[in-house]
Amino acid sequence: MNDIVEVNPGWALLAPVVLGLLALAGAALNGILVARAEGRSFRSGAVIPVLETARLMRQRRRTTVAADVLLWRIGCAGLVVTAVLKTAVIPVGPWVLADIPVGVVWFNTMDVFVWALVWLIGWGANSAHALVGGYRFLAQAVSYELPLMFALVTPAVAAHSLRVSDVVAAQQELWFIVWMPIAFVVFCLSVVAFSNWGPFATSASADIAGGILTEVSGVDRLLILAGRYALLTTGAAFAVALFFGGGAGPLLPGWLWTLVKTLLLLAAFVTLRHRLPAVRPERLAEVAWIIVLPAVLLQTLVVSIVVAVRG
Amino acid sequence: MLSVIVFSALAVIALASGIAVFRVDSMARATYALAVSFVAVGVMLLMFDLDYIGVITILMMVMEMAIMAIYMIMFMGMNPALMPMSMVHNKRWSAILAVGTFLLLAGGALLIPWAARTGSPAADLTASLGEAIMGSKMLVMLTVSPILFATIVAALVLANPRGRYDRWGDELNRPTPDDPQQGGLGR
Amino acid sequence: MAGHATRRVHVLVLEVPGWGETRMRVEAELARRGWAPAISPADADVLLVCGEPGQELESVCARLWSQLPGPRVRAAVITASDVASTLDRAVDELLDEASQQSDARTRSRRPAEPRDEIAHTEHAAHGSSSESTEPDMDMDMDMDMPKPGGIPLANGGPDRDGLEMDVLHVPLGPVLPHWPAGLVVRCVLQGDVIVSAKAEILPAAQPSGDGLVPDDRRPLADDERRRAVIRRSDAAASVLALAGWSFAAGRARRIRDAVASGTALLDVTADLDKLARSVARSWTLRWTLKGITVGECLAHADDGMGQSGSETVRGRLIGWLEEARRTARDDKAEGAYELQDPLALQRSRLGEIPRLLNGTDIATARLIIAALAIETAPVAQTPQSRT
Repeated sequence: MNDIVEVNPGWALLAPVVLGLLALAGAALNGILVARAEGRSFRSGAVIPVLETARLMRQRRRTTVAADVLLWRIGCAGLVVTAVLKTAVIPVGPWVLADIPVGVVWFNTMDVFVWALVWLIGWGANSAHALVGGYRFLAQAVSYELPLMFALVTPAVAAHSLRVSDVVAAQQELWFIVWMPIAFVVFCLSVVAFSNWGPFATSASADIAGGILTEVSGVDRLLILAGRYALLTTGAAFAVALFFGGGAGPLLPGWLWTLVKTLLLLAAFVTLRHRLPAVRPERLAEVAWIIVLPAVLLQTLVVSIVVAVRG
Repeated sequence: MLSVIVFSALAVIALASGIAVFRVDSMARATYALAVSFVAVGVMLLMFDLDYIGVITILMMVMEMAIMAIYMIMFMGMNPALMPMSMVHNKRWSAILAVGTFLLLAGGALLIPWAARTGSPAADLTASLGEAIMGSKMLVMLTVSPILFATIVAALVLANPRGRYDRWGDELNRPTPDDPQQGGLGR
Repeated sequence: MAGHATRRVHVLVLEVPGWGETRMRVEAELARRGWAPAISPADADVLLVCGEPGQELESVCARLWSQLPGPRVRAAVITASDVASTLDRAVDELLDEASQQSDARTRSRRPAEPRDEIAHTEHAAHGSSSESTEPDMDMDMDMDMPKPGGIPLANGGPDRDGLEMDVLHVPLGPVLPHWPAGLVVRCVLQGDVIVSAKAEILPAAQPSGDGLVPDDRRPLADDERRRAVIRRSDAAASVLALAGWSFAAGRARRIRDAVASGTALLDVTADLDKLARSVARSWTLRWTLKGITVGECLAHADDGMGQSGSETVRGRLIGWLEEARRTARDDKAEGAYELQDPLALQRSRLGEIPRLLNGTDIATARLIIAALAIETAPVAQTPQSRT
């Protein structure tokens, strides 16, 4: 496999398009799953994201009494922006937009922005349900963030570098998924959690009338929903770079392998959505701090020892 | 040239949002204005090629502000979402202190005859930063981190009104702890 | 564009007590069309009132209507057979650009300020403009306080951890996803923890002919067995949906809709068995519902829903599915024992709510209320039960 090279910044215009298409594919898969579960055709499910987009574009935006509109709109628009900023350090085959020396930390920083943004969505509406949703997300974030950080650190330790291209290059012989399964699982669950998705979507769940989504309509709602899929997609793509050897694979070109692996992982995330009951933040906290965090620390320790022994 | 413009713009943003912290009338806005200020500073650090410090500044500050918003709102005696409120206390002395500090630092930055750079920066600044902190100072780190950790644990123990006897009973023999909210492990 | 935009309409259903079967028919019809039930007014294109609301529900309805973002359509349906045609008309109205534009023009861009009498009576359904943060005491003293947006400020109060924390008065219901029709639980919240709660039912204008609860124990006719299976799978679907397990909830709803549409009971037993098995086996469900109880009183109440002496939410859920299986198989004729004195039972359930909800968070409270499966319909038949 060739080394990863930075491409002309002009390609940055393409990144949101590719991200959007992948996210749309994820949304379509979700639509298909919903439609099949309700006994409708495959095709009627696949078009759901398109129909929903059209519907939300036609819908009017709302404001509420004494809403903090500025912060609210920032929160709504921010999720998509964060996801797009993440794409800067994600390699697609042999290319990456910005091969910065701290790519792994960059990714982590962007998902910390989600803390602020989700809370702002909940706060801005000045609605009890929305605010409960925002706080639920922070409570959940406190549980997933540390395990996520150590899951991110583990491949970086093995690669002796925080640069994503180095992490990919270090997997030429053996993909990290093979000897870092705990870190991989923790990373994937954290991606699902910060994307506010599936069992970790308690901040937008039906028991609080949609939580952070309670009061948003129209294009604001579209941006939040799209942002969730975009975060899920970038999470899948980053997992490919960290654990699945990036664009490595036989026959096909590297960029195609990246896309294929990303889509497969994204499909797995999307499928997880309806399969499991919700993991409520107060239940998650103990498990995350007492079981998951030591487990992933142990994983980091094992990797560090292996790396130190091999020199 | 471009970098000078970007840098100045970031400096203006950092200053303006820093001022906004005291001008806005809501807790949430003040908190996140401060976050914006720090993000601008973080990006400025990135422009110095201090990648790690810049990115980590942004990460820490955004996370900190998200948590701080909770605490500020938790400890306010009223509903601060709705209640416009002043963000300043003890106006005169804090203004004097702030202006004095600013003048001191800005004057220092401008007046000190900074030495010209000798040598060149390391190829991998992140790695050399790590070695600078962790290499020769490892003993300090090894001492400081257990103390910090012990402080956190001790503070939590002191602050927590419920001990294990409250949870497990006087004989510590309840099958499940008596908690207001059940956790995920039942322990 | 408008054509695509109206192919997946989101419908907010306001179910009047007594019109449960109409609501179920609406849900089935939405699933068949590929439409979606709205989870809040902001999410809705159509406000569909199932039944004849009483005065209080009527004002809730007006308030919800003002919260729909638009384009919006308001429709009402009284009998289950009218559901499909009503939805067809609603989509036509959604597509009627002229009337939608004139509706949009006549509305104020700004949300309605909560007027005082509304803030006090708290006939609120959803969200912010209905969220009333009135202080629970010292009203006269607080009259001088500023009221940003017309909403009085919250007062503090000691919380369960011994700190002082804001109290917020938030009514849950009467329109929430997976919520008993017409029920309003007026909660005093600290954070998302309920410090005290009061429950009442907003009645219908008149009793419905829809979904009347049979009241004797004669051997069950096929129709009553159907009704028993429908009620149990509907209640199970609510609990599963609130537990966040949407696929299992969807399966329970499909069984319910199949029975309602006339599928032979024996044909759904296989599906019921499968669902009951996966619910009973799921350790994640066991984990997420662990320790959430609905109190002892229900274990002994001879109410027809929850005979297995189970008092946890999970136990009730599994009990319903078991009963539905037995009833569908007709193993025992008394499988569908219905309420003996629905009114007394309903009162005892409503009376239990404050005690059960005290100190729980909203998520747990929602699960408890779903597991109580309060039958709100009979109130309409006995108007003197209103307090």
